[in-house]
Amino acid sequence: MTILRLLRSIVDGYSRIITVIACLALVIAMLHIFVDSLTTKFFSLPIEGTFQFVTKYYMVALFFLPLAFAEKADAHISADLIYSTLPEWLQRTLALASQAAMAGFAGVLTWQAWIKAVQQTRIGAFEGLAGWQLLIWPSRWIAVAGLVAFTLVAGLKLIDMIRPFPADREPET
Amino acid sequence: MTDFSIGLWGVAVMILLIAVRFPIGLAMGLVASIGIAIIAGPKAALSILKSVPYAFAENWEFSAVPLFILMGTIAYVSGMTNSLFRAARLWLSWLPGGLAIATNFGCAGFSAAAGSSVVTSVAMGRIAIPEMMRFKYDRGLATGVVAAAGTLGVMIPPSIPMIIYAYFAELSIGEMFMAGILPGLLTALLYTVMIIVRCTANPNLAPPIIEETDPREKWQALAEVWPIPVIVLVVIGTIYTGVASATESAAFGSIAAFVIAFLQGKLTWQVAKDSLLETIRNSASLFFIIVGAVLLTRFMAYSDLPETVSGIVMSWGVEPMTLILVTGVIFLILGCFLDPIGLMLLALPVFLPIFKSVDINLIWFGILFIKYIEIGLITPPIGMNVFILRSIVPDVPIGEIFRGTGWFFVTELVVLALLIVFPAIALLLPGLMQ
Repeated sequence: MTILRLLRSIVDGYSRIITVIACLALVIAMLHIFVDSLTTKFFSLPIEGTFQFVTKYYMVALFFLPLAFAEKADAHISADLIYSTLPEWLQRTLALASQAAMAGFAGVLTWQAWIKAVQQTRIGAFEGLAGWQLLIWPSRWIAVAGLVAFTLVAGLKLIDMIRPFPADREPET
Repeated sequence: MTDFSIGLWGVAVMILLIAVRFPIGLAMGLVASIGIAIIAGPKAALSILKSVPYAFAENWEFSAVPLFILMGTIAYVSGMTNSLFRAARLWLSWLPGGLAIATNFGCAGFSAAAGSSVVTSVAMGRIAIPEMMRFKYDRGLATGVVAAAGTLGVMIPPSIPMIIYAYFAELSIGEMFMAGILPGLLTALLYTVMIIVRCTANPNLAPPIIEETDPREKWQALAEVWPIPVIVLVVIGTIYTGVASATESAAFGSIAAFVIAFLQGKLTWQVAKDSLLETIRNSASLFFIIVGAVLLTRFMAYSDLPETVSGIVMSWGVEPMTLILVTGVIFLILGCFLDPIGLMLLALPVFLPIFKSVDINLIWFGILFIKYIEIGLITPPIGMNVFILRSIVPDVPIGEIFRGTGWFFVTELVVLALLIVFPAIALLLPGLMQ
């Protein structure tokens, strides 16, 4: 199925791009906080809006955008109490159920984040700072952007589990 | 069905899901959402799902976490551990079990630059274990000391689990950090005493090292450890003096780590890329599981489970001390099966309200809690640090590493007892801060 292959490469590319953006957010957050602390402590000249930029933009990007990357890398923490003692068919069924639940949960989170983002965009949500306004509705879309990728990656993983060796899958490198 | 019994059923289903390897964050989030939907209706559940993840991400205090993870990763890749271990080795190798003691202090020192036990154990294990093996140290001792002393990463500040605890208990991160310093140092000190006693009683564990070292070389090695004191000064100094908040000091610390790596010529493109990717991957998986825990907290509040349990416990007239000991036993048992961060996030929503209601000092309890986590990291069958070491030295059987941690486990229990009997060990420094 070429559609699936196309979708997979689009999702991969998209996840990569937002992962890079998350890395940039991390570096910029570090520099912004650092410079603001210095100018505040030494010259009593804080950078206006540091708190808002860090919390509404950098951190939102930093936490939401790499969710897909973590999902792809199987980085979500899990434990193994009785799983390994179960028969193979049950293990497979449970793994499938877990992946389906993950995709479903990510989907619901995306749906709700989407609704909130639309609401905030409609009212043009902003935060007032001394002399200017910082729009904060776009930060809601950053969350959506990360969650959409998360849901798609989780969903594709589920499809791969149902069809373990699809003919259209690229060989793993 | 009452709200309370829905809460109980929820906890039971959640534990079952975790047992069959559902990601812990997912198990918590799923059960909490369905539980809230049953108690308060689907609208309430959806509205919580709408607000909780974003509200958590935009939390200022928690922005310290990715920055501290970044700092530790950079410190590791820039090889700060190498110089630290080398100096400790040259100065301490004359003692019985000297290399093990050097490893122990190396871990304690590196803990001040890394927020997690994984980074500390991997960083120190890679250099110290081959060295101890070369001098025919007992394999259990060589691996056990890294596994155990690596756990100092969560007690000696900065510490990611402490930030999480402070967030849930609504405490100041700075005070929590200060509270961890003395217990961390005490642990390192008692480990040292234990190693000396054991290696004196049985010299076969650690054959004495006969090496001629030039005194100049020793001083030179000491001079090369400067990056760690610089980072300690930057991070702990700024928090202690109140110059910076935890987030600001994390930014200072990561900039310092970058600058040091650059000055040492170790900041390549690959190093920077790997550190950043590692940091955001860890941050995202941490974020997911914490969102699950926050949802679970909400579910617990809806079900009144913690309040009801604490009411029952109070009606029995249980002393706070008994409660602390019972909690300790529960955690030690659960810690055998669950990853420490998972255990922590699972336990906090249930236990914290109970401890709040009986007026136990939450900073002190936090330190005990962190201690339980440390112990959980080295106890079978899960003992995460032991498995991490196994990946570094694949030829040492897992059982041998666990046996090696046995004496450290006993020492940990001694430290735990001291912390329970003398709360001042934890509370002295935060008290001085105010």
